Amino acid sequence: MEDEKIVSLYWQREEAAIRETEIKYDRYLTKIAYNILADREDSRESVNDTYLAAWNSMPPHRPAALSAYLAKLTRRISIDRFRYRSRDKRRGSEYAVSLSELGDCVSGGNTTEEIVNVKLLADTIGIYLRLQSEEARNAFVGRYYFLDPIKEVAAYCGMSESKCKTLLHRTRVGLKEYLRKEGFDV
Amino acid sequence: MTAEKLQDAITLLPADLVAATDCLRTAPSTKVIAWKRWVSLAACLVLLLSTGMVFQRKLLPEMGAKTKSAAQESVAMAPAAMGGQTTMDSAAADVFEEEAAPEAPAEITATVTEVPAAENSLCIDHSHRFAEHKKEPEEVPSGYCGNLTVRIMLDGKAYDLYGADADTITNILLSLDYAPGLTCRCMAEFTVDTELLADVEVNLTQGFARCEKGQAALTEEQAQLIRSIIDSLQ
Repeated sequence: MEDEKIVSLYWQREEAAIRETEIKYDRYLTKIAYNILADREDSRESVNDTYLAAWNSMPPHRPAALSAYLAKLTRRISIDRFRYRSRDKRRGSEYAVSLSELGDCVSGGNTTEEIVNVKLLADTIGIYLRLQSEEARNAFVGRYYFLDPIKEVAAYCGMSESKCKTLLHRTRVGLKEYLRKEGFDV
Repeated sequence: MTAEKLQDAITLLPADLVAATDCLRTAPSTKVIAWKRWVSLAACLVLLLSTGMVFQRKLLPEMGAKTKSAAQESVAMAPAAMGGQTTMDSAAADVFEEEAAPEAPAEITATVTEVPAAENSLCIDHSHRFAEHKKEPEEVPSGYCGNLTVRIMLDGKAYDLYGADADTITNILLSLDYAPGLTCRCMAEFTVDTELLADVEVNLTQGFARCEKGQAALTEEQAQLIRSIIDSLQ
């Protein structure tokens, strides 16, 4: 079924919307959740929570790209779930690895983080990414939004793993400089 | 700022950025099947080898003895009773391709499979043998006073002979039974121009003489006699 029809079903409060979403996006969402949680059961629960969140958020939302919208929900739910879990379980998670890598961009201090407007930060990152090459942008989003392993990112971006790592490193370093220039305390 | 805060911000990235990458990562992958690369490589190798073989076959005959090993090129040279003639196989239409070395062993046989177009009636499988019996020298045609001259071209130099030596060489070369049409491409050691027979190619090691009449075998005695004259020139 097309995304537009599925969204319409949500708006009509038809339970078939969840069924159709599951048929079309279950595997896709499970992969995103698994990249964060590295646990099949937790991923399953996160995806189920995503269906509930979608049911509760449509209406009022009417996403243009349903897949991106559901991915964002799954990502947020999975990250929340991840943060509640014991630290031992972080090992092996792509999310944990990505946190470590993104540590390059920030100081890790707690002094300013409370006052940073996350939305403003997101907009700034978005502007920075638009300034980058398509290759670098796709690699960054694939790695840090969808949390795909570097091997997969390199594969769908059509480059070698080593090139992908180098590209990501340069993008992170550039992001750090850009955020500093924009007045963020990194 | 912490990395987690950064991740929270990344979660809020504009949908169009996310969707663009999402399209890329969910697109069907076009994996290059590993064996296809190997098949391509193998096909290239086969093509290369085939081309090499074709060129080798076409070019080798023209390159003559220089491109072939001694084992392929060798020629039988042992004295044997073969009726005083340079012996040729029945494959007389084939072509000599080898250039036998002067130090070639006494009895070697050559076997070459390629048969290029021949200018003359030549053979590939052949052997040179000294003639067994010396034919009686022909009478020098009347009208000659006996003072013959002979010119020998040896190693790029011309040597003129007079008197007994000239008579001896002339008589020997005139006495040979030349087999018309059965000439090989074996290299001559020197050429002899007599007043009665011009441009005779002689190889004393292999024991033959060759001129426009054809090719003939020398007896060992004849070869030794001519060699003694040639040695005196040098």
